[in-house]
This record gives sequence, structure tokens and C-alpha cells, in this order.
Amino acid sequence: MMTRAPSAFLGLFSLAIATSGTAAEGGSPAKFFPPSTVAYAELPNPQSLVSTIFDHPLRERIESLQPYKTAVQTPGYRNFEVGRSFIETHFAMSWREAIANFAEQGISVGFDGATNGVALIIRGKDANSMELFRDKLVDLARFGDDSQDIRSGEYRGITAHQIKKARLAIIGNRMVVTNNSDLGQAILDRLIDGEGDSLADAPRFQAARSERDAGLTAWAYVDVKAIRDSGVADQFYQDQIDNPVLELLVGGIQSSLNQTPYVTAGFSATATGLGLHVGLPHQNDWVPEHREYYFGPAGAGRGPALPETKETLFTLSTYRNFSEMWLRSGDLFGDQTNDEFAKADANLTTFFAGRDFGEDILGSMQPEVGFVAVRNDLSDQLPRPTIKVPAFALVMKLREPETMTRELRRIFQSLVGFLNVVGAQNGQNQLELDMEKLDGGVQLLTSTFVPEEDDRESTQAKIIFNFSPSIAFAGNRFVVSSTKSLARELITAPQPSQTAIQDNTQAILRADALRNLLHDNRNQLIAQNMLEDGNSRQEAEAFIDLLLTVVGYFDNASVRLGNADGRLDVELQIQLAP
Amino acid sequence: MTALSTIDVDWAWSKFEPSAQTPWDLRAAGHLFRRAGYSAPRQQLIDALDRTPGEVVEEWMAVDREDESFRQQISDLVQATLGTGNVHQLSAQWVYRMLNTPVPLLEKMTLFWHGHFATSAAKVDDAKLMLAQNDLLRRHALGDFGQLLQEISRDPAMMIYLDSVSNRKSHPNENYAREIMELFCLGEGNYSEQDIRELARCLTGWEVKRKKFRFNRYQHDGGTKTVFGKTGKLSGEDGVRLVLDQPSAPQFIAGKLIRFFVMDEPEAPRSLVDPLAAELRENSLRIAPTVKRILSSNLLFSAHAVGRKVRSPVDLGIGFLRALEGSTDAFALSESLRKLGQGLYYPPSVKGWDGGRSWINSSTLLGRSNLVRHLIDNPKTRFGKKSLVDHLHEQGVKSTNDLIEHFETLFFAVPIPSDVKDRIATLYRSSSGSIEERTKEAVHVLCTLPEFQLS
Repeated sequence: MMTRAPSAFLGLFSLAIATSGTAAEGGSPAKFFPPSTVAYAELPNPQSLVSTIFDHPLRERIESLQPYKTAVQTPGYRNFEVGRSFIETHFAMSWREAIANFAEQGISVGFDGATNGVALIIRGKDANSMELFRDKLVDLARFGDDSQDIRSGEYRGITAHQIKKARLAIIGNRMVVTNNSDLGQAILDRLIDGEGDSLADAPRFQAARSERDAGLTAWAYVDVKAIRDSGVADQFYQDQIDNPVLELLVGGIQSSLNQTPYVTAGFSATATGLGLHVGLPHQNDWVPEHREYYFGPAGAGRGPALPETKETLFTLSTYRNFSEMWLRSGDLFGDQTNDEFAKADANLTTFFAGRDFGEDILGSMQPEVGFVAVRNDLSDQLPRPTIKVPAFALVMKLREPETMTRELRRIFQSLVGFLNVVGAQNGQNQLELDMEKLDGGVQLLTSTFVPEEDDRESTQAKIIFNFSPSIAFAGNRFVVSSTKSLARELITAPQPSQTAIQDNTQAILRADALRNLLHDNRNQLIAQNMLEDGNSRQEAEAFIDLLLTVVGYFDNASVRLGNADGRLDVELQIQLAP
Repeated sequence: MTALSTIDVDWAWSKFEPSAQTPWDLRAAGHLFRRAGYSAPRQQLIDALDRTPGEVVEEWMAVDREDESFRQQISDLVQATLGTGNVHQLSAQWVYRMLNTPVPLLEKMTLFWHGHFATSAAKVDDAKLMLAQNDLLRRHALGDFGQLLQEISRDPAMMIYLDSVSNRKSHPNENYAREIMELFCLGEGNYSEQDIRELARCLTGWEVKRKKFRFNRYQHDGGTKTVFGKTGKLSGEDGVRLVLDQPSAPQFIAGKLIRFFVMDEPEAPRSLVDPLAAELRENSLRIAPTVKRILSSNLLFSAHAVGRKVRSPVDLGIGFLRALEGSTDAFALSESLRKLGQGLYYPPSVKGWDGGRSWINSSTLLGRSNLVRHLIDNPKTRFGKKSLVDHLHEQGVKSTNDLIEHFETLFFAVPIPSDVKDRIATLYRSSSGSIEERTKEAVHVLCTLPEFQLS
């Protein structure tokens, strides 16, 4: 049974035993960990990971950058290099050779709930290498301040070393390192005997293992049921998050974690990018009714397919029934948050000309919602703002376009009027309203900030000239956009052949548009860097140009949340530029 | 020390002649740099000793604007600031300028006029207008006071601040007319209520429309007015000119310059002010010759001036960094200055900052100590692009005594008592921690000494 002592994670260890006879060769390292292990991770080929990172062509490009060359001249980096050289000299090999020798066949780590101990099993090239490794580690400890704390002992004929709280033993080509004697003995028993109940025999672990993808760089498993049953994280498993933003982001996942038996994570690092895949068993009936807004009825909610746009910076496609969430806020949140909801509801109802915000406004939209942000091309526009902000838009579908189009048009006109009255009181620029009817029943309502007489040709105008708030309708399609050009582009773009994506949520950030956006604001970023970091213009330029260069090495970053076939999957990907 | 009231005025304003008692040494150079700008790095002080004090001041006076490359850098910063529309960013931008300007005297004078023609962004709330006023102050900082007064009278930020945005003939607003006489040009007792009322009539029709000055001839009182005994159909410009023509105008400005550059107190006697006032008038109210005379004078290097001013928060923060070739987060520093009562673009009232002893109270003393601590602990603060210890080492500081001597030269107007030096040295030696930590602690202690608060 797991006890509450997260501090057991602290402090690593050292102890070494050399023995020629081992009962266990090959197979998953999970078979050496006790069945009470609640968290387990393995890195089967550390060399490959190191090679992927340090032999990547990107490394050479980064090293050729001036800021990198400057950084390696700093005293901090030099100190680090001195320390590294010292250790490399001590081991008589480079750090990469050390990894190749001492961890050639993988590293695994586990946290045992029964002992609150952490153990690491490092499998090296051969027994001789591991003996050398142990000897060098003990020498290093003697060299430092730990010489008084080095002790040795024996367990079943195997000599072990203890340095402070860490224990270290070698058996064959494996080194076992742990902070807990009982856990260390349990692992050594399995290594010597080659038998005994182990994590590898646990049904939940076996189920998780069977779903493991091939070719992963690292894989991890967490026994969620054991943690839940132990009561160590009761607060986490409460059904209420009480934060509207977090609720929208992870509310459904929280419900699943309250029931799921385990979670797995797979990490992959390749020459083209990095990926992290977190998966867990999931059943739709685990999600309570008040959270149906998240995955939709029967968990079938899918994000909408979005039309293509130029210079797309970010897209988010999701299924969230905002109206349902708003109206069910009493079940989802605590009293304090609900008070805020009540205030917001009253204000927004006034803002939307007396229409009930939750029921009439949010309720008029279908739950498939898209968000698009694009680089705002202002090269032909005057006045042109100094700070360039991306254009962004919400893409939705109306439930009753026949009645809602007219309603929303009127609300938009009222809003513009309201903003003009408030703006006039504060000396702000006024918005000019316009309406266009395009082919195919497309309606475009736009508003544009009117510049002062002297600012009409300005190329250093205020930030508001990034915006021309607009809405657009085409059948049941509805777009709310920060600029009229994006509203026009989205409403007139050819519609995707599929109406929905495969996932509940998908978000993609594209690096090329991000780089262009940063470049558009280069002067602003340089100025901000000068003021914030006290840099000279030259230093600030170097820093910002480095940022732009590094962003240019990436292609995109994406995250998806999918639920299908009894599983819930969250996947993060970072793709490098080709 | 001779009493100020009985001082030989000719000697006081004559060119400083170094003597055995008051030599032209590093300490004197440090004093001159602090008064004319900010505390300066040791090498600058050493270089200054190659010339006479008069030559040093002459060089400073010859440069009335920054070089093109620096102005371009600042222009880029200004555009970025205006792009955000954030008034608070203005303060940071000015802090950056003060820290990096190649012409410290110009910034010092701009700050002087900012305190003189005090206008707060808290009321104006418009970055563009505040920046335009700041440019105006800098443009005329060492120039023609008459022109500066005429232009500041039509400056939209000033007009908004003093409620003269819409000055109509039916209801003349006397606010600006009163301040121009009392605070900007003449001082109390040198005008009558009638003069204020009549000047306010002259200024009618002066409005701010779309953030620009506009003369509305329909709202201007075209009738006959009498200001300081002069009668006629006087315009606003005529009214301001009549104020400038008053004999008390150069007296008032010269008095303020003496207080700013020479000593907080006592107030300079009339006999000491008169020669400078006469010089101002002879030079058609051009500021530079008078400033030059003050900075080159025997009085400035005398016991009446040395250590007779309290370091303002700006002198404290900017001077600390400039002397140690430091750079830092300008936002954080500008916020610290505001907390110490000298928020740039945020003077407390139309009277500006009182200065002198008002900089020091139980709360600000702690704040001043914290400012230095924050500066040296802030990871963004670098000294000559290095850590504090590396920079000091490069400056030849190899021991605690070196450190104390180095700081005494750069920052202290009056000597540090020897027992205090001993205590700091003992503290340094007995402290645990790395050299970096102990050095920071010693610097912090030095900068919290009562002697450090004097300039």
C-alpha cells in the first residue's frame, strides 16, 4: 500500500556491487520492479536520443550564430565546461562515450508506492563497464565532501555501496540505484532470482504496455487507479476545477482521470521534430452530464474543419458547447465563481441589447467553434500602426440563420454605436460602419476606425488601426473578426470538403507566420528589449535577430485532443523546418 | 566658513581657482560631474583632471544636443513608446536616455525644466503630448528662456494640465496666468491680482483642439488690457512678453538655478543672485551662459556647495549606475523612482518637486536603501556588461579598502568617517557567502550611509 511521502523522490543514491552471475538477461526492465510500482518510465536507447539532439544539422546552425558564440564565452558557461572537463578526465572518456558505455542498453526508473522509494536501473555495455562506472562514481564521492558518508555492505553475496542516502549496486551489466533499501532489495531479488511478481505482471501495466507504439524514444506509465485509491491526491480528483478557463481546457480530461485506470506517455525525438503522446482509457459515460458541453452527446463532438487562409498564424478547432457551459455554471463552479458569472451575465445581457447572453447569444451558435489568427498584412494600409497585431476571427455556425442573422446584425450595429459614444467621451477615434452584400448571399458588416486629419497618412499610428471589427454571414456560417479583410477572406473562402476534423480539439501554431509577425514588429521588440534588459541598440538587435532565426528553424507546433475507440489522446508535436 | 550673506560675491562667481585647500582632484571632479549631470565613472574623472575645471565645463557647454546616432536610437525608442500609447513607458524611456546620454548636462537641465514647468501625465494622460513637451524642454534646456516660456504657454500638455484648454473671453481662466507669474517666472510678491486677471484676458482664445494649440479669435478678448502698467490691445504673446520683461524674472530664474546646482539651503541672498540675474538679462535670458558661470564658479567648489544638496532619487539611481557603467531594467528603475517621489512625467503638483530635505524621510530612507539593493540584485543589472565584482576588479578594486576608496571617490561629497570604514571592512571580512554576495553587501551598506545621501 502506498504511503504519503513524496519527499522520497528527493536525493539520489550511489552503491555498487559487482557480480558475475545474474539470473536476468534481456526482457523489459519492468519485470525487475515490484508490482506496487505506481510510476514507471524507460528510455531504451539514450545514445540515440543524444545523437538525435547533438548530431542534428540544427545544432551546427545554432552554433554558427554570433549570440551562441558570445554565450559560450560567458564565465558561467566556462565554469560549466571546466566542471565537465574534470568529470570527463576522471572517467577518461567524453560524456557521450560515457553514455554509450554506461547506458548503452537503456535506463528505466520507477516510483514504488509501497516503499515510497525511487529506483533507477541503468543497463550498460557489459559488466566491466559498469564496474568501472561504479568505481569512478565512488572515487568522485570520495573526492568531494561525501567521503565520510561512504559505506559498503552486502546483500545475498552482493556488495553494495551507500553514499549519504543513496544506494548503488551492480549486477551484471546493470546498475541499480535507489534511495530506499527495501526497494533496492526487492529489485535485486528479482535480478538475482529472475522471478517474483513484478510490475510487468500487473494487469493494468500489461494493458498499457500492449498499446505502446513502436519506435518511441521514451515511454512512461502511471497507475492512476493506485494513486487515486491511495488518496494522496484527493484534491486533484475532485470533480470541480472552479476556474472557467481551466475548465474549458481540461474539464473533460479531469472527468476521465477520475475513472481511468492508468495513463501512458510516449515521447519521440527524431530529426524532423519532437512529439509527446499522452493516452488513457476513456468511456463516454465517465463524463458527468454537466460536462457534456465538453465532448458533446455520446462524446461525439468534433471540432469544425476550417477554411484555408493566407499567412495563417494559429488555428484552433474545437467542440465546446459554450451556451451549455454558461447555463450549467451552477454545477460546474463554486459560489464565488458563480457570483462572477452572474455579474458577467447581467453586463453582457445589457451589452447585447437585452438579449440573454447564455441562452440567446451563445445559444444561437452551434458548439463547433473555430478560431483563426493570421498575420495582418498592413503594407498597403494607411494609417499604418507602429505595433502590428495579428488579425483574428471566430468561425461559427448559427442554429437559426433566418432569424439570427438579422438579430446579430442589429446587435453589431448597436455595439458600434455604443463604442462610438463611449469613445467620443474619451476622445477616441470613431468607428465608421459599412455593409456589403456579395455574391452567394454573403453579407459583410464592417467598421473602420476613422483617423484624425493629420494621421491619415501616418505610418506610426496607434494600435487601434490594426482593427476594423467586422462580422460576416453566409447561410448558417457566421464570422466575427478583428479585421474586415479576414472576415471577407473567411466567409468567401471555399469551404472544406469535410465539415469536421477527427478530434475534439486541434490547435496549430505555424512558425513561418510567427516569424513574419515578429519581423513586422522587430523595431518594437528591439525597443522593448532595450528598456527591459538595459541593452544597447546593437545588443538588442542581436537578441531579437537570434529569436527570429531560432523561430525560423521551426515549422509548426500542434496539439490535439481526441476521444475515440475507448481512448482519450492528447498529442503535442513540434515540427522542425525542412 | 564665511556666512553666505557676507560672502565676497565677486569671488563667488569668479572662475574656480584650485588651491591647496580646494584642489582640482578626483573628489572635486566627482563633485562637478554630480552637479552638472550624474556621478561619473572613475576614468572620466581621471580624464577631466587633464583639463582645468573651466575647460571641462566649456566642453559641456559646447554640446547642446546629442550626436546623431544617439538621437536616432532614442527616436526609435520614442516611436516604440508612442506605438504602445502607454504613458508609463515614457518614464522608462527617459530613464534609458538618462543612463545612456552622452550629454548628461542636457538631461539634467531637461529634468530641471520638467520640475519647473511641472506637468503630470497623471492628468494629461497622453503619451504623445507629454513627449512633445519633454522635447520642447530639452530643445530649449540651455537656450532662450523667453522662447521657452512662450512655447510652453502654448504647449497642449501644459494647457491641459493647467485647465487653459478652453480659455474664453466670457470666462477667462486665471489658472495659467497665476502660475506663470508665481511659479514659472516671477515668484510671489512680484505681481498683483489685477496683473493676473489682465494676463488671463490676454490669453483668452488659446485652446487645445485635437491635441494641438489653436487660437480661436472669436473667443479672444480683443479689448484693452493693462499688464504691469502697459496698456493696449494685448495678445497672449504680448502678455507673456510683459511678464518676461519684469526685473524679477531673471532674479527668479537665477535663484532657482543656484538652488538646483549649488545648494538646497539656505536660500541664496539677493546679493549673490543679482550678478547672475544681470548676466541673464544681458544675454537676453539665454540660460547657457549663466549655467556655465555657476558650474565654473568658486562658489560651486566651496564649502557652501560641496555636500550641501540632498541626492534626489534620480541622482541616486541614475548616478549609481552611470558611475559604475551600469545598465538595468528601465521599467523597474522608473517605478522605483516613482515610489521614492520622483516619478518622471509625474511631478506631484504644479510646484514640481520640493527637493532638498523633502527627499528624505523614514519611508524614503528605506526606499532608497531598497533601490540600491534591487539594482545590484536585479539579474538584468550589469556593470560594464559584467557582474559587479568583475567590473570592480577591472577598475582595480582588489580589497575592501579599495572598494571603499573607489566608492568614496565616485559618490561621496563628504568623507566617510574612518570608524565607519573600519566597520564596513570588518563586516566584509566576517561575512559568509561568496565574494559577489559580500561585495554586494558592502556596496549596499556604503550606499545607505547618511553621507551617501548628500551630493
